Amino acid sequence: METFVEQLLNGLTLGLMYASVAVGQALIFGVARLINFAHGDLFMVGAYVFFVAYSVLGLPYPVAICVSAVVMFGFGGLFERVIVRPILDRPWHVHLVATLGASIILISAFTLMWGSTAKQVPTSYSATILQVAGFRVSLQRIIVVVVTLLSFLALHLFLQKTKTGKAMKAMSQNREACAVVGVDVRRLSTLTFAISCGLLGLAASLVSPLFTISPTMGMGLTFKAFAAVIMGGFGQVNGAIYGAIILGVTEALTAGYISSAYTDAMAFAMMILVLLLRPQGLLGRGKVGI
Amino acid sequence: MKRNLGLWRLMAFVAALSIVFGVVSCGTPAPAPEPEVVKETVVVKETVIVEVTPEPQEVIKETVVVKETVVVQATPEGPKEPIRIGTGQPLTGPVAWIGQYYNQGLTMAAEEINSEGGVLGHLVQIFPCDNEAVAEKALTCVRRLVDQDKVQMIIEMGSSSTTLAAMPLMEEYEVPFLAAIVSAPSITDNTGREGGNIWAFRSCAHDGMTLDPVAKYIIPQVDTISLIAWNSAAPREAAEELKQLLEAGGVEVLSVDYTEAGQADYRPVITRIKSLDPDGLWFSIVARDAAVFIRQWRELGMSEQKLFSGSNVVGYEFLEAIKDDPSLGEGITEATLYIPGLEPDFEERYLARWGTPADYIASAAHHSLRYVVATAAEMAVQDTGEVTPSSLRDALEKVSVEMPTFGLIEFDEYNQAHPDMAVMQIQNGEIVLLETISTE
Amino acid sequence: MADEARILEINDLFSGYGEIEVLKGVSLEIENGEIASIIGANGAGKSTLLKTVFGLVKASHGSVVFDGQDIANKRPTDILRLGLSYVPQGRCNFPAMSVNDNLEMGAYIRTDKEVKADIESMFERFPILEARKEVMAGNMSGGEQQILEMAMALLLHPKLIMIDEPSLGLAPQLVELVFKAIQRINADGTTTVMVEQNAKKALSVSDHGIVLVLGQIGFEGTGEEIANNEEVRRHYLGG
Ligand SMILES: Nc1ncnc2c1ncn2[C@@H]1O[C@H](COP(=O)(O)OP(=O)(O)O)[C@@H](O)[C@H]1O
Ligand SMILES: [Mg+2]
Repeated sequence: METFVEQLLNGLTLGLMYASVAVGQALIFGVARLINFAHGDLFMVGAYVFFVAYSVLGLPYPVAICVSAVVMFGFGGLFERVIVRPILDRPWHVHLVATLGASIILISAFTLMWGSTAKQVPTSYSATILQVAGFRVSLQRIIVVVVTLLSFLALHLFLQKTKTGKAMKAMSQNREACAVVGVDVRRLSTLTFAISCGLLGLAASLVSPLFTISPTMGMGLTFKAFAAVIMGGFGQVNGAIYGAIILGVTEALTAGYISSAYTDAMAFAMMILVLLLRPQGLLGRGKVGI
Repeated sequence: MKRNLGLWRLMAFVAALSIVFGVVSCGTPAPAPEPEVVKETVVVKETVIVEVTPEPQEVIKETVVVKETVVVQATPEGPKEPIRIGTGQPLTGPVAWIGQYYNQGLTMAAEEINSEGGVLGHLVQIFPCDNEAVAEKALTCVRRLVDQDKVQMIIEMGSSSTTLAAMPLMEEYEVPFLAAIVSAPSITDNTGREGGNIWAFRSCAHDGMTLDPVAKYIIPQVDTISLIAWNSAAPREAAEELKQLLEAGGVEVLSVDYTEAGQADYRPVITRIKSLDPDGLWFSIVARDAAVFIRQWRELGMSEQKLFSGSNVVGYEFLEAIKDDPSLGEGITEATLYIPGLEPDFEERYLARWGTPADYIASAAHHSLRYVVATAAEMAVQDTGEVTPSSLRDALEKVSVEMPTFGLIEFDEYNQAHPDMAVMQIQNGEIVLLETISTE
Repeated sequence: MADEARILEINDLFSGYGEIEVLKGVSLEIENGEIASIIGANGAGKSTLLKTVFGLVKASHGSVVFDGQDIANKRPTDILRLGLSYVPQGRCNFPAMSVNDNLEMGAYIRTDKEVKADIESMFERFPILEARKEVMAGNMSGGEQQILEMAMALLLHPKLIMIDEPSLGLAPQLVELVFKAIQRINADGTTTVMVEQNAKKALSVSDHGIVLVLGQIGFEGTGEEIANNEEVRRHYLGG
C-alpha cells in the first residue's frame, strides 16, 4: 500500500512535468487554433537557456530560473512572429509542416551549438533529500511540484480575472466574435506564445536539475504533452493538466507494477481508452475552448 | 456542426499520428549518444611516404589533407622491404568516427614501431581504405588493398557485417586478417582450423565471451539481484543473457527492466526494486543517463545494494556527470574489456598526438598492431627471413604476447584470443582497478 | 464634411472572396437616426456588404464613408472606435463565459472606468439579461443570446449598429422580443441597419428599405414603399 501511494506520487511529479508543456500547447491551440509540434523543443530551448544562465554564467538558482522564464517569454513571441504568424490563417496541414520543420531546425541548431551529448545541471537542492510523510524525496522535486502548481494557479487566475486572459478564453470560444468586439487577434497570438514559452522556461529550469539536457529531449515531450491535450479535451487548459497527470500516473504505475518497457505503450493506450469513453476529452464540450 | 466535423477529423488524424510516433519510439532504440570528441573527418585518399624525417610531418598534396605519415628511417644496411598493412574502415558516413579512432590508433602504433627502427629493420606502412561500413565496399577494399597496395596483411574491417562479408575473399586471396574490435560471436564460428578459415584471427573478445566472466564475478557476491538495461538491442540481449547465466549460477533475478534513453524518470522502477529489496543491482545504461539514474537511486535511499554496471558506466564520462557529488558513484563495479583511464601512459601519448582522448577502439587498434602483429612479424622474419602473407599467418597462429590491460594474447583453434577483462570500481570518485579476470 | 444627416455613405462598392466577386457596385446612403432593412435572396451578398463595411472583407473598389471618414479597408478595431458596431449573423458570443463576462468582452476596446456602470445600465435596459448575469451565454435561449450580442455591441455607444439576421432561427415569440429590442435601441438614438430574412416584419418597423439583388441594389425606398412594391412582394415577401 505504501509503495502504491509512493508510485502515485511518482506519477504526479512526472505528470506535472508533462502538464507544464501541455498547458502551453492547449493554450496555443485554443487561441491560435494551431498545434505546435515544436512545443517540446521549445522546452529544450528553455532548458539550455537555464543551463547557460546557471552553469555557464554561474547565476544563483532563483535568478537563473527567472532568466530562463524571461528569455523564453521573448523567444516565444519571436517564434510566433517568425514561424507562426505567416501561416496562422493557412490550413492545419501547413501548421503541421511549419511547426515540425521548426522542431527539426531547433534540434539541429542546438546540436550544432552544444553537441548531442547530454548535459547535467544538478543544483544543491537535488542532493538534499528530505523525509516527507515517510517518503524520501529530494528538495528539488518538492520545488518542482510546488512551483509548477503555483504557476498553474497563476495561469488560472490570469485567464479568469484579467482582461487579456479573458480575451484568450474568448478567442478559444469564438474567434469571429473576438474580431467583432475589437480584439487584436494577432497581438493575442503573439502574447499566447510568449506566455506559453515563459511557462516552459520556468518548467525547464525546475525539472532540468533532475534529468539531463540534450537537443532531442523535447521530441518525446511534445507527443506526451499532445496526448495529454487530446485527453483533456482540445484546447482545455485544465483538461490538459488532468490529462498529463493521468499520463504520468499511468506511466509510473506501469513502470512500478508491470515493466518500464511498456510505459509509452500504456500511456498511449490510456489516451485511447479515455477517448473511447469520452470522445470529447475529459473536460471537452465537443467544442474548442480554453 | 460542419466545422466541428473537420475539427474532429483533424484530432483523429493527429491522435493516430501520435500513436504511430509513440509505437515507433517504443520499438526503435534511441540513437546511441556520440562520444564527445571533436570529429574532423579525415578522408585519407593516399598514403605518402616521407623519406628520412626525424619527426612526423604533415604533407599536403593537392587538395587532400593527408594525415597518414609514415616515417621511414635509414638503417645502416639500407632500408629493408617494408611491411605493408591494410585496413578497411568506415571513414565517411554516420559511423566515420569509428574509422577515425581506428586509424589514429593504428597510425600511432606504426609511428612508434618505425621510430624504434621498425620490426627488425622492416618499417611498417599503413594503407587505409574507406568501406563506409558497407559490405560490398568492404570487398572492393580487399581487392584494392591486395591487388594494388600489395599488403601482406589486413587489420580490421570496422564492423561485424563488413568483416563477415570480406572474410571469404581474404581467404581466397590468402591474406591474413586480424579482427581487433568487432564483437559479433558468429565471426568466431567461421575462423581458425575448427571454423574453416585459417587466415582470419580475432584478438578482441566477442559478446558471447564477456558476460560469462561478469556473471561469474557477480554470482558469489549476491543471492538476489535486479537488472536494468537501456532499451536498445545490445544491452537488451546482454541483460537477457546475463539473467540466464546468473540463474544458472543460483542467483535469483527479481526483476529485469528496460528503460528509454533520455528524459527518463527512474523513480517508479526504483520504487519497485526497493520493495523487492535485492542484494545487488546490475544496470547497463549509457553514462549520462546512468548519472540521472544513480541520483534517483540515492534519492530513494538505496544504499544496501551492491552495484554492478555495464555500458562503460565506470568511466570518465560518468564521473564527470556526478562531479558535484562523487560519492553518488561509490562502489559501482564494472567488468569490462577496456575503460579509459587504465593506461594513462598510452592515453597521454594519444591525446598529445591527436588532440582527442583515446577510447576503446583507439586502444584496441594500437595494441593489435603494436603488440600482436608486430610480434608475429618479428617471428616471421626470424623464421623465414621475410614478411609474406603466409609467413605472417603462420606466425600469428603461434603468437603469444602479453598485451597491456588485455593480458596474454594467444589464438585458440578458432583463431580467437582470450583477452582479460578488467574489474573496475569507483572509489572516492576515482576509478580503481580491482582485478583482471580471464575470458577463457 | 459630409451631409450631417447622412451617417453612412457607400459608393460603388466592390468586394468578394478571392476570385469570387460578390458585391458589384453597391451605392447606398443611411440617414442619421433611421432604421434601415436590407433584404434579398439567400446569397445576394447582404452579409458580405455588412462585413465589407466593418472591414472583415476587403473592398476591391469604392468608398465607405462613415460619419465623415472613409473607413474602407480599415481594421475592425478602428471602425469600432469610430462608433460603428456590428452584430454578425448566427451566434456571436462566448458560450462558455458568463453573460457578465460577455458584456465585458463587448467593451474590450474601452479602457475607461465607466464600463461597470454601463454594464449595469445594460441590465436595466434589458432586464432579461440581468436575471442571467452569471449564466453561461451558451446555456441561454437563442433570443436571449441575440439580445446579449446586441447589448455587447451597444456597450461601445455606437452611432450606428449593423445587425445581421437578428431573428434567424428564433421561435416566433422571441422574434417579437428581438424586434422590440431593436426598436428600443433605435429609439434611444442609435442608427440601425439590419439584414433580415423575415422581410415583412423587418420592413414594417423600418424607415428605409433596400433590396439587394445579386450584389447590386435592386430596389430602394421607404419601408412602406418597399413592402408594397409588387415585384418585391412577389420575389421576396412570399406573395
Ligand atoms: N467566406 C466566404 N468565402 C467564399 N465565398 C463566400 C464566403 N461567404 C459567402 N460567400 C459567397 O458569397 C455570396 C454571398 O454570400 P452572403 O453575403 O453570405 O449572402 P447573404 O448574406 O445575402 O445570404 C454567396 O454566393 C456565398 O456563397
Ligand atoms: Mg447572410
